[in-house]
Amino acid sequence: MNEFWVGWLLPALFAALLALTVPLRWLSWVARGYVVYLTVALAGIVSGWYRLADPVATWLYVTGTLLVAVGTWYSVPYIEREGRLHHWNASQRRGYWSTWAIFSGSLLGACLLDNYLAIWLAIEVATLSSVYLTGLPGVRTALEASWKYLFVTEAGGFAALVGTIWVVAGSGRAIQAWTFNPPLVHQTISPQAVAVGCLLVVIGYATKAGLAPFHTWLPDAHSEAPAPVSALLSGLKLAVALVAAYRLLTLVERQVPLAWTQVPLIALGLCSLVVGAALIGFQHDLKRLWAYSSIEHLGLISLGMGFGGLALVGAFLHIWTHGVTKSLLFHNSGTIRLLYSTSDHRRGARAILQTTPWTGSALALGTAAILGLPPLAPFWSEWLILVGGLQQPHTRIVALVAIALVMVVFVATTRRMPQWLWTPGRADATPYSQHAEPMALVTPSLVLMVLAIAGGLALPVAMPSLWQGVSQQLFGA
Amino acid sequence: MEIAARVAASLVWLGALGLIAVKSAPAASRWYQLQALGEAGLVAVATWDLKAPALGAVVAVIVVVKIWFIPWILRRLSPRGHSAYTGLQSLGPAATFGLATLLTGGSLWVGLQVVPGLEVVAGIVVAAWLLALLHLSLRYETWNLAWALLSVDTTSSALASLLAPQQSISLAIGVTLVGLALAVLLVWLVSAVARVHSVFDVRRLNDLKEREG
Repeated sequence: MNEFWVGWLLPALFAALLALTVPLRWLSWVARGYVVYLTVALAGIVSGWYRLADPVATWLYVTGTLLVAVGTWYSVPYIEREGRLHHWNASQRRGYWSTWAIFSGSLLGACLLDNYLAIWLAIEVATLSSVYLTGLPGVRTALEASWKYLFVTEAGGFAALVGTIWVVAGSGRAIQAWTFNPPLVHQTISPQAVAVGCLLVVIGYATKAGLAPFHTWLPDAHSEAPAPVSALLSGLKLAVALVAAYRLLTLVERQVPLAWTQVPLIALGLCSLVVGAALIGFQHDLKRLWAYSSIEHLGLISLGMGFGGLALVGAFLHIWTHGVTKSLLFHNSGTIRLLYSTSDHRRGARAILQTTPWTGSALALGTAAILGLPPLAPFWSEWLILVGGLQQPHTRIVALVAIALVMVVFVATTRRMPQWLWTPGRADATPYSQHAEPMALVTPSLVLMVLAIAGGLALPVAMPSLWQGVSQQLFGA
Repeated sequence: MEIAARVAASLVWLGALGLIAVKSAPAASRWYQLQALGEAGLVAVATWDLKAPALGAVVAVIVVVKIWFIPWILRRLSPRGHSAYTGLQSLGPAATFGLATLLTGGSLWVGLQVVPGLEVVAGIVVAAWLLALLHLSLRYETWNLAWALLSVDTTSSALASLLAPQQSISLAIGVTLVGLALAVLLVWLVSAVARVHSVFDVRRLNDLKEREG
């Protein structure tokens, strides 16, 4: 625990409190102030003013801060229009901004805290606040998604709590220590206890991360939540939960057989790829399509963590590349919902490239990136994960199956995407804004577009010492 | 203190079982208070065993939050209590209690095998945890599912405080406050579902996929 922990916690709480108390017309200025704080915090980390517990925590924090900053920036015009369109009252608007500060703040906390119980607590706060945000629109489908999200992920969350305690305390380590490598304070309770703990950790955090077969909440929650919330859920929260599981499994990998640590990650990763590949081609709603894509990409990250070595480095790079690309795509889906009143191509979200060129271009670019086309950002990380799997004889077959499933996803998505991009709509199906796209909605996406193009190489090049530290830490693991 | 720990653990177990069988929301509140009393008892025993009076703060927070505040908040759900059926009707009373016995026996065995020093107590609390998870799959009314989730919360934190009594006090209080946040969220969600759907049985909610045809 360090002073930066206080520096993170207080601004988030302060922003939440301000959102509840200031006059409504000032809410957007509270949000802008929050973006400025996040930018300063990011600059502090990048320039080395603050040091976090280890390079991986710093990597996650840099990714998280950037996604939260862009998400807050996008939220200002998005929520203003969404609220106007669906007649949100004052308490809904205040509720959104206040809970957004808690949600994003707790996610950043989960990135930078170095106590396993505190990380669990931060992920719990993020879950509960995002359940509220998902149900906030108050319509039938949003409430159903919120209900399912709460019950499935909380059952997993409490399994994760018990598993965390069982793994850390059961392996004889000090649960109260603020370090990723808590000191041994007594002998291991029993190897079986630690193994049971590993199983609960995997099940619990896999549920939070939306890995199949614990993914049932994810497509509904991602498609019903306001677009900035979906973006942060997919780009950051899922990955943070998976990293928590990875850290706990790494902590005890020498105390339990490999079957309890690496194999579950590989099995869940492969299972998620199968679910993504099987269902992505049948989606008509853009947000649901990207939700299934998230299951697939978290599966890839899980595979990378299970493979280890080069693939592990790829998995952590993929957290960044998937985060920026999926944020772009969810923001883009939100803009499409606002402009066309739907993101379902059967109900009018068609010919997007022709009628709203900026939004259509972002969709085309984001789709090409998330499918792993070179030289866009996710290509490099997916390449590292799959090549890392192929390099090791004992994971080669799994890597080959994964490559086949990624190709299925590629074909299914490229067959589906033209229905949004090019298919002409009905003559009377004019978009919400016939000619002009609100630049306030487009500008944050431009930043993400640049990162989706160049981020795969740019971040390691721009921050070589951080990237070197992350690689060394992961190769040493 | 072993006896005290066993009594406290048994209260947690009894609360989990009672919440499955209960027919009305006010009665669920009583069973939940009993379960929370068991959790507070387990932490109190740890306070005594470890000679750590600061842990008393955790006991106080559990008493205030779980025995007083959460039942008070959830009383708002009482008018929505459905008394036509109980969790016992999903599988039948015999099958439900048979399953509960099996889970308890299995958990006691797990406790004996993997948690030396806390065998019986850990076994009972693990059994309570599994019963609470079973509860989630047995009931369908929104008000009762809310209690089921809170039961999972209480049994999980009881298990956590049993296996790692030396955890940081602020984090232990944080875990208890998660239960409070969960209760507030559940009240909001159940009320919203009731307002939009006018039903209290989640089986009557249409699945999203149906909407999409």
